[in-house]
Formats: sequence, C-alpha cells, structure tokens
Amino acid sequence: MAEYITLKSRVQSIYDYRQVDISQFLTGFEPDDRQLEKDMTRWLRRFGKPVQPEHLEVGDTAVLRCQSSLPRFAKESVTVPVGKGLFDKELEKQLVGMAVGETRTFFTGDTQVEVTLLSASRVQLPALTDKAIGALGVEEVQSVAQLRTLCLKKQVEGFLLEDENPDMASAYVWQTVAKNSRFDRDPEECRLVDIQAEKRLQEVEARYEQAEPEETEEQEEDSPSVVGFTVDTFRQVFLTELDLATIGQEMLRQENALLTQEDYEARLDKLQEAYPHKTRQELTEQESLFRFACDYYADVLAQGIDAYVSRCFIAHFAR
Amino acid sequence: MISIATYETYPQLTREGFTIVDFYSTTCVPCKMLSRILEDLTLDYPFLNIVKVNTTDEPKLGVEHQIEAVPTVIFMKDGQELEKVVGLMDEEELEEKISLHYYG
Repeated sequence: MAEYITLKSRVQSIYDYRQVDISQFLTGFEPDDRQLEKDMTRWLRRFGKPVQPEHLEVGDTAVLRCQSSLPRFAKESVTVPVGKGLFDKELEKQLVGMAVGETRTFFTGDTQVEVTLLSASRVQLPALTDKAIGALGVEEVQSVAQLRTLCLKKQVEGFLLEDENPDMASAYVWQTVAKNSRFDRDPEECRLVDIQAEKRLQEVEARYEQAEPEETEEQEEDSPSVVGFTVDTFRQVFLTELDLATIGQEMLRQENALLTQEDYEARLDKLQEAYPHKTRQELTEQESLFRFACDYYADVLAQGIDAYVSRCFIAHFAR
Repeated sequence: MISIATYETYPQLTREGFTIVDFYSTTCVPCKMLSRILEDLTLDYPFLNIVKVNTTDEPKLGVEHQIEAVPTVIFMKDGQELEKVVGLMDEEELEEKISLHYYG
C-alpha cells in the first residue's frame, strides 16, 4: 500500500472559493476583431482539404528550387508559404501565377534568382456558414456564432494570461479563503516555516547586497529591496501557504490522490539527474519533504482558484 | 508539428533540419502564452518542427542547455544551436526568427 505524504496541520472548516464574488475585477477586456477573424480562419484550417493548385496564389505553400549567387536564394528545396514574406517579400509576390514544373527568373533587389516550382499545395477551407460548420461534426461548434464564441473565448484566455486583473482576482479569492477558513496549525510545521522565513530573508538580503553598484536609475527601481522586509513578512506568506496547502490536501484526500513517498523520491531522482554532483542529503535539504508537500498541495488549491477565476471571466466576456 | 521531448527522445527530435525548441514549465504564465503562439504558428506553418521540453520533468536537459529561466527558445539547425532567446516572444518576433534561421 502506498505511503501517503500528508501535512500535520489541518483545516477545520473550508470556505468554498466558488462563493467569492469577483465581479469588481471583471473589467478591461476589449475584443480584437482582426484577431478574431484570423483565429476563425485558423480554426477552419484544421478541417481544410488539401488540393493541388494549377497556379500559385497568395496563401499557397510552394516547394521551390532556387539558384542564385546569394546563399539565401541558392537552395535545392525550400518550403515557402506564399505571401507571408518570411522567405522574401518581393520574390514571393512574383511567384504568384507560376505552375508546377515551371522555371522563371526573378529579381529581388539587385539579386537574380532562378526559381523552379517543384510542388504546390493549397488548403481549401470550409465555407464560413452554419451549414458547412455544422457538417464538420464538432460537438461544441455547430454554427458561425459558436465558432465566434470559441475564438472569443481564446482571446479572453489570452487576456487572462496577460492582464493583471485576473491575478488580482485570484489573489483576492486566495486571501478571502484564507481569512474565512479555520485552521489547526501543527507547532513543528510552524517551526519549519520560521526556519524557511529566516532563510528567505537571508537570500533576499544577499541578492540585494550583490546588486550591481553601477546600475541605471531605472534598473535600481526594479532591484530587489530589503526595505520593510522582516522575518515576519515571510513568515506570514509561508503560514498562509501552509494554511491553504491543508485545503489542497483535503481536496486531494477526497479524490484519493494524496502525494506518496514515491512521488517525493521521483522528484529527488529528477533533481539528482540535474545536479549529479550533489548528495541525496543535499538534495533533501534543497527540497525538503515538508516544502515539497506544502508547495504541491497549495498549488492544487491555486489551480482550482485560477480555473474558477477563468470561468468567471470567460462567462462574463465571451458571450 | 509539435512534439514533447524527454531526455531520451530529444536528440532524435532535434537531429535533422530546422527546429524550434521551447523550454517551459507548467506553472510559468509567459510559457503558457508562448505555447499558444507556437500552436497557432504550426497551423500557419505546418512544416515547422517544434519541440517542447518541460524543464520540471526534464531538468537534465535544462542543465545541459544552460536554461536559467523559462520560457527559453532555442533555434536549431541539424542539431546545432543557432540562437537562444530567453523570455516571451510574440508571433511577429518568432516569424522574424524563422525568416532569419530557416531561410538564412
């Protein structure tokens, strides 16, 4: 039977993160219509039918043989998405109209290039109609409106990654859960938190002292600062993390998916691969069993909160 | 095509032709953004070979390639490193690198 790794600290009552109202954070998203159109086309591409064009057009993919005195244009076989301009904008414009097997001589700038079109392919996209989209048989996308919503959802997801509002919403949920749940902290684990806090403060101070003295003013503003940091600053952060880890642990206990000793050993094995010169003892000091469990279980809750925040944003904006 | 590399499969996946290697970790937000951009790129450029390395699962590959932060993208040709870029790149920047290294 697997030997589970659990924290001795326990949660006594859990405040469900799905009860937290984050409507005050649901702002800031503006849909990008140009990107939306691009994403809809990209989605349709997955269902495109490959055909062989008689003559090249912008959007086709061409395989070329090029001869020239310039190495960039001297290739036995090169794949070029026509019109994207990645190979050469000027040359790609001149490719339009070529037939497979045909050889033509072009100039791009002052460079002469002899081009033979070896093969060409085109992706014929399904029509952007409800009927054509419905015929693709994708359960969640049966119409143009649903495709639009799917692509809009993607934009909102991108916004969720880029914008600070979702992070603030997640932090708010995190704090609300910590404040309204009840915990029973184990004294020994609190002592480990104290040690960790002292260590972190030392690390931050060391980093501050090592900062380059000849930095610009702008860099100085971004440099780590120890002003206002005390052991207690970090103790509070790590204690909150310990509290919330006990909730993550409880969530996994209900799913029968608690960490096992094998998971920890596997983590140490990976670290050993990366740092072969270190002893097992040094690695367990680098990543203690307590830290491993605390990070893992806290992350379980964090992921649940992030998913909840994402769902709220998507439901609000991707309509 | 996007492949996920392990320490064992990495040499085979990057041995031939032009390859974009994305070193990432699952908890890093810019990595997720880059991952979406790369997925979009493969729809526009299906001939690209993109290899992803999860540095948490494969720390040895991270150490061997001196990955100090994620995301890090390495552009390779025939197994040789051409350029290493640390940090998030947008679609246009990636296209510039493809233009430079794939066609260069």
